[in-house]
Amino acid sequence: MLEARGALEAVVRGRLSTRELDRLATGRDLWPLTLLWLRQGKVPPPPDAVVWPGTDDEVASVVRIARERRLALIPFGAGSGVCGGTLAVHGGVMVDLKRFDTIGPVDPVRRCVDVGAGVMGETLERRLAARGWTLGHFPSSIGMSTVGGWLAARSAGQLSSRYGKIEDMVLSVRGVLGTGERFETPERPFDGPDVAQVLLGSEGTLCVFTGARLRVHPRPEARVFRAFEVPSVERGLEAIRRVFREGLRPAVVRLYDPFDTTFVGRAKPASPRKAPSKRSALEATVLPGVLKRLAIETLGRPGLVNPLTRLATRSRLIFMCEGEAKHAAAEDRAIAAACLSMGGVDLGEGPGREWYRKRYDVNARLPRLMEAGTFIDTMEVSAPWDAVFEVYERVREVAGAYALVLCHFSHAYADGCSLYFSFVGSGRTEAEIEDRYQQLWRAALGAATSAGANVSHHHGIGLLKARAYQDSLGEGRHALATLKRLFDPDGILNPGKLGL
Amino acid sequence: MKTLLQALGPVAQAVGDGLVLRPASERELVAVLAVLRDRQASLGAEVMLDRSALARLGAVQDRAMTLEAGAGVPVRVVESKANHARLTLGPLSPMAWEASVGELVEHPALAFRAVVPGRLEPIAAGITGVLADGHLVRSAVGPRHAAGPDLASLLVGGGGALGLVTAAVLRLMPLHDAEQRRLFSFGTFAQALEATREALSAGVTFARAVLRGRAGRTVGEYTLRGAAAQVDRELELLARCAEHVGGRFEGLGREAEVDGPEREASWADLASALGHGGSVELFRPALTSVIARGVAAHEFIPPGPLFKGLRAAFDRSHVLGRGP
Amino acid sequence: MIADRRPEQATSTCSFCPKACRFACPVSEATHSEALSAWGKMSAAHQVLTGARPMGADLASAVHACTGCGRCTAMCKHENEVGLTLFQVRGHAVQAGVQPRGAASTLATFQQAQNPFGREMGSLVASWRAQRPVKYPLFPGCSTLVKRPSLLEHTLALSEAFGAPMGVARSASKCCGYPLYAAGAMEAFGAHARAVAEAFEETPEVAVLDAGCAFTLVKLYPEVGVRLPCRVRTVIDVLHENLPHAPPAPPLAERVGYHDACHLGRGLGQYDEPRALLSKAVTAVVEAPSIRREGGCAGGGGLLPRTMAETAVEVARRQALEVAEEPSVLIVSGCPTSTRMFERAGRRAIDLVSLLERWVSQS
Repeated sequence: MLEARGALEAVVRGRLSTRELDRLATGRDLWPLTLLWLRQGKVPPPPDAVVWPGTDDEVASVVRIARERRLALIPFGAGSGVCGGTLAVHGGVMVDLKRFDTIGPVDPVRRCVDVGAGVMGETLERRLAARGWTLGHFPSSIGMSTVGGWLAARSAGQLSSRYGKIEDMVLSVRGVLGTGERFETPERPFDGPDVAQVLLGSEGTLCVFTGARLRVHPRPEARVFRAFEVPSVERGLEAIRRVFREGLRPAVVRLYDPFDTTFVGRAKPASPRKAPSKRSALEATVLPGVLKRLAIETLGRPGLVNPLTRLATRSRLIFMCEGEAKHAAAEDRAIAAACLSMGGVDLGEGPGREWYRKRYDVNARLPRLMEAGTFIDTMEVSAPWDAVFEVYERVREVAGAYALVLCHFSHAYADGCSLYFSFVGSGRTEAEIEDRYQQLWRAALGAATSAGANVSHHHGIGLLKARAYQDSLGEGRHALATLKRLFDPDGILNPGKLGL
Repeated sequence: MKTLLQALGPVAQAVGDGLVLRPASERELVAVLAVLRDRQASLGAEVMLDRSALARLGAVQDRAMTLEAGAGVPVRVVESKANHARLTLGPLSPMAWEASVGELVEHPALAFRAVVPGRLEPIAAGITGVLADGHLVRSAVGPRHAAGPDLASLLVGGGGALGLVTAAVLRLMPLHDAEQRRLFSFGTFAQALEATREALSAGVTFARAVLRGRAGRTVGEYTLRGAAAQVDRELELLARCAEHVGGRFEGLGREAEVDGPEREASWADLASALGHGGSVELFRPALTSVIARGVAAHEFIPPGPLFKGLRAAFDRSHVLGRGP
Repeated sequence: MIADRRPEQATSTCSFCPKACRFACPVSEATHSEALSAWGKMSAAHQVLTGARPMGADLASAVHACTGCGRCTAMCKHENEVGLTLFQVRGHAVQAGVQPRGAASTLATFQQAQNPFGREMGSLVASWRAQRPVKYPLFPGCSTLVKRPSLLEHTLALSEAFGAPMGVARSASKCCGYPLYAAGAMEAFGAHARAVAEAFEETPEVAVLDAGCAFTLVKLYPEVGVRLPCRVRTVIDVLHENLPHAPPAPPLAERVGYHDACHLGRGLGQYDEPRALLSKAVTAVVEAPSIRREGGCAGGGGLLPRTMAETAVEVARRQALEVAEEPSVLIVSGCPTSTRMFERAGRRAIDLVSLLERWVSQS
């Protein structure tokens, strides 16, 4: 790296850092395993340097230098990935893309906007909202992820049932290949394969995304919420399936399994925010110690706790329709009819509104749980309707040996939906906790895929699922390898990810 | 040609001066492509590929609303089987109904259907295919994924340039009898197009639309098909969208079809056609693009470097002899 | 007000947090730096506090890369006071002798002159002292006294017009001490605050012009155990209360963008008062995509203009764009520091008080 430093510095006009601070800050993402390491005082191997190119040409020059010197390059957005997708396992240079932060004007006729890869999601959505538009993309990481990260990992937002995943919003993408060539994919209509779809989801292993042209929609005139209590997970799933079969496209669909329902069911209505908050102070000072004891005694024995969760049966089901006011109301009525016919009890709009208000709060629980000596992680897969319940049961069965298992179903489609498992576990020592974490993942992902699910719906592959991903490809591995040879012949882009 | 015929074995048949290759499985297709590569031969007018023997037609998966079909199965046959289960491939364009499953799924435009709100999704929920280099691709059957690059996209909509689909799991939708039409007129063609886009963005899924100039205004006839309740909901929405941009309700409508070939077109192409006094008929209206009659052919756009690279990587010897 | 009062706990929370406030930090956005995100800075500070790493120049520069704007806290479900925690951790940099140059020189100047400008403030204040009794003793803040006397003129004139005459208070010769707090010199800040409190004893109520000073007096003094013997209000609050007495005048034909200054808004909760005043004074007000509690920062706080001068201006430039993309739009702020930062970023900007003075002087 030292030999390349001068050349790299020249092409990025001095925007290169080898400071430990910058290397450590980009050296880990939000993979929970790295949080376990943090608790143990360990850090993942940091990159050798960080560069901040600001133009496609600068990125291309960085790639060319890296090819000449056989340097690993890791494209970096805001480090919100949860699968170790940006860990510098082979050292190298982190290519921080946040200088690609332009948001172009909205084209109201074509209903699109040009956005740089480094734009933070929340910034983009607020800017669009101020102009009367929305991308419709609201991942729970929206405050901590970039457009480039979304493209690289095929991100999904909470309103995906209506607006689709990020790959459904892309009109074209631009960037630089591992060959150092710049590219911009064509917009429809075009002949031949849609190359953008081949590059999206490549997690920095084939190219560096620098920007995209994305579809936007007018801001919704109205949002209509409705929640139901359904007698069982199966009935809830069937209600969702019927809703989509009838051509309804709610923006939000969330079915919580009975155990998860006990948590969402506790949600209280909004109270005015007060500062100072004695509650927060208490949480910060007293709670960690108490939780730590509790965690080891309960979460450390999932085999005892999980069976108790099966005593509950009733599930919470939330819908939200948005768009033109009368149409959203009409869709809501049709959804209500479908759910009531499945034995659902109408809970009104309250729980849905409460979920909406707290839709990003799940992130806030992490610090206290980690401080309490637990591990917490989530696994999201999708499956056709025929397989969804089987995937649910199998994963719960095998993962229950290692952690407390909660699940909700969201991101619904006419042909299937996503299952979002949450795992919380603990152990007597950090070594035991890490060992359990690793075993849990092997067992849970194996159970999911053998029951008919894919390996990821929207978190991506990274390091965490690389082996399962390669296994899932079968002979398709050759096609992936061919793409790698074509677009990154020297293997410099994000080595080790996706099993490449 | 004779030695090629011998090398290919029973899968090949001499017809006139050329050969017709009729593989009945992926394995046979892989073998065919290997022989052609060895002999530096290509598929084309002299060596024709006939996928009609890839004729497996699976059972309808009612819950997921999917049906697996071999590449050689005519789309109409798939539709017939789906209809028995009260399902349908949906409102396809006339050209799509004449295609085989392989042709449908490989076609750059027909391979996608329109879904709310005006976006596109592949008709195939999963595919099996053979790349030109002889390797298989089998995509997982599922609604969506974040599992690396979408390898199915090498074949889906790929025009058969990088590989050939051998089977596809096709997405279906409920078969409903309700169909209604509405006619609106607009002061300008730009307003008519804007109303159409607004309706798509708001959640209308029309099966067909005709836009044409008449007596100084532009009329738009929209056909909606689906469950009766859904059609009613969307008709009301359509009316509000049309009125929002100054449209006037003109009755239930029955506009004549537009002649000419079907093409995938952008909204600028539609504006250009209407601006020149033409009429357009839309079959797969989405915000991204439409399949239309009445639009001019595109100028030939040379394949971009990405595509050239892909073809060089997967079909170095041009065994498929196809491409944009 | 600090939910996680112990810096160790506050920094631990951030270290394990999935960067929930990631987009909120103006310094990180302006520098495009992950290390300077709230998460990055607090993680670094956590390592210092737990003894994992010594406080060096690098870490010191990171914990100084914060304006204390509180936008991250506004996004935080734990109400974690990132800015104030980082200010506390700056004390380690003082002890280790690794303060950034701008912070060290500010501290040295302050310790010599009891203000950050090295000026003798008594004579400066004397020239402004009221010649007759006034309703509201005014504490303009040393920045305004030194750098923007015109704003002081406008304030005095406007207060007359609103029937709430103000006059510069004797205590105005004191700096509120915010630079000490922002430099991490907490003990010195405590001592200074006690001295200022004594100077305020003769005044039952004081109107403070600079939102930063008001925030310091109202919110930071209690943090070091000092409670002022008088009621502290902002000039904007007083003007708002007296708005019904303002002389009738048509609104100025001006399209302005309003910036919620951090100390005035998040610090003191004054969002509606400035807007009510503004709505009378101009015909059109543009609002930024993020406003009120979630509004952006102009880069003037936390000693950033002294420690990272270019970054501070870049923060202001970006916030100005956020408030109004068109450069022709005049940006209005209720904080003189913010106004100065926008001007340094090349934008047309004006203090709310000066704009109001223009409005009433029409009549």
